[in-house]
Amino acid sequence: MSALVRPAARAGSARTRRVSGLLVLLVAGGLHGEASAGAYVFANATRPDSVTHPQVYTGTGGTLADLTICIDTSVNPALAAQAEGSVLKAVATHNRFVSLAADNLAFNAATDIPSGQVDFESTLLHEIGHCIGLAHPNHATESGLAEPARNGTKSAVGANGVFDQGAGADGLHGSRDDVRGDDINLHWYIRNQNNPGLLPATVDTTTMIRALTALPAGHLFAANADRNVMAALGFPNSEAVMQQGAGFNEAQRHFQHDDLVTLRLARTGLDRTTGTADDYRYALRYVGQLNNPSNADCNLRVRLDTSTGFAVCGIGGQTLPNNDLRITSANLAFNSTTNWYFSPGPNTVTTITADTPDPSPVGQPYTVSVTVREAAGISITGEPRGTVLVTDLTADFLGFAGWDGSRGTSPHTTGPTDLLFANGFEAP
Amino acid sequence: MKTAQPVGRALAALGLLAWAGIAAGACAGSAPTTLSLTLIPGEIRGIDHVLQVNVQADGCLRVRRPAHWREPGTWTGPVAAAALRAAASWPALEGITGFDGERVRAELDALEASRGQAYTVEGADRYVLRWTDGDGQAREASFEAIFQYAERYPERSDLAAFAAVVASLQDEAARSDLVAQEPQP
Repeated sequence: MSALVRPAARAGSARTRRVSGLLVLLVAGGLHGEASAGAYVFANATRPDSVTHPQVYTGTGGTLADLTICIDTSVNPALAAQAEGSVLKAVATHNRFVSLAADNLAFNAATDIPSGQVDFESTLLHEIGHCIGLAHPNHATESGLAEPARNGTKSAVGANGVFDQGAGADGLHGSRDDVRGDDINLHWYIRNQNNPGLLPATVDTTTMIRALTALPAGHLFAANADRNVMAALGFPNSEAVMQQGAGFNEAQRHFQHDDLVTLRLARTGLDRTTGTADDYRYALRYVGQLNNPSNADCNLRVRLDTSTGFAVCGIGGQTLPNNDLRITSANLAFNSTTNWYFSPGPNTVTTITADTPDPSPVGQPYTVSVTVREAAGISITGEPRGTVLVTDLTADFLGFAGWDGSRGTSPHTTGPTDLLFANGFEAP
Repeated sequence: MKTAQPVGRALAALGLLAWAGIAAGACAGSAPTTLSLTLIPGEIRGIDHVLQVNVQADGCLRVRRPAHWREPGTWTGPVAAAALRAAASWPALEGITGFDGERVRAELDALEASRGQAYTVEGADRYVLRWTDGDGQAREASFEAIFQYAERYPERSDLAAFAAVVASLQDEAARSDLVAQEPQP
């Protein structure tokens, strides 16, 4: 994949400076520009509107301390070391903090996962989601429901004490026409849209709601981003990362809009209004392989052992004044006998091949050429496609289906227009 | 049948067989199960994902490893741990006789709530133990995410006992000297 983008150079007093530009490029099969939300761990029938926040948030907004993650080497150190590349990639995906409406899911030859293996990175991204506050958007196994009813939207039982899960006329569990009796919805959705493939420009309680009072006419329950529901809505190969259920040869390494909107809603803080003082942001930071780390050593402990049959996250929480919860401990466990695929690094390479003119006059656009190619040794059907985000001469390929996100950088200079010579050098 | 063991482990296995008094290959049949573990992971779907570990009255072990394991399929061999061979009188099992997983969870949830705290395990695995006690009575106990809860509440001896039984059976299931039964997936 190659592309040209034209960031706008920002005027400035410095004679030479890096360019700050921001441009979203939709390439070949461009993506829909809009996401619905999911559910939070600890929300239940008695506190359905509770939002769960990561450990680094205590109610005070701003840029918070980094949330840290590490790999515990006290058990299976060799396996732990193999996991490091995947941990670094999942951290980068979290920090990229972007999402796709469709094509965040790929299978078999459309991935780099060898046959018969389970992708560790995809599972890790899902468990990290739990460890920062996200629940399954679907009923999942904790409901006790069987397939396919467990694909219905996350809820608590109502007064009758049972889930009244019915697929409705379309036969799809988790869609807008599900018949749910007195079940209590726990899934946040877009007001008057109820479409998990959309992404509102503003994410707070002016656009999002948990109660079923803002469903569009004819809708019966909040829809979730189950893969079959998404396909029916016109978003192919798409499913929330937080939807429960990993399988062989399945890559799900990119957030879907439903995941990101749930995280963004939490980041509006206790008042759930964007643009206010309690809004927060933070980065996830890998702090290395540690021997039996405490929570003070790292907030998210990753361990490969036999304390799980597959993968879990154990989460401690503390109630905040508004009945939200703040996570106080988060331990991830992955089964050490599972046939994991540990992706060693991104399967794409993003390169800025040219930025012209360079130097460029202040305030004038320049053109950036970007290529995204398959990494060495990778064999995936087709060619990379999708979206490249260019900012400050950093090109971020956001990933697409089985293609990983990756980043390319390049220096670029600008100078005052009248001092710039035709040969590209500035006056002394 | 096939084995997949390095020489050192195979020698160890031979020693074990001699000690257990059970000849190699003698565990291919089935006998009544005296103790079993069923482990159902939460976060996986679409494939055979249940681990089944059966300790038989003849001192043999029969393990069904799920498809997502590195060495899936049905495996057998003599039970290694003496405590498991005498499961009916195993103190660890006596320690969880009467274990009521739902009651334990309710107690723990109430404890957390009284502290203004909460605890959950997302993607929790379900562990089901079934055994026959010294009186010949069939017993069953189940819990979700036992190891995470045992770590969270180290003061709970019932969780520790349940976790110890599960761990023993998991250790048996993962033994490298077990013999695969054809056909393998």
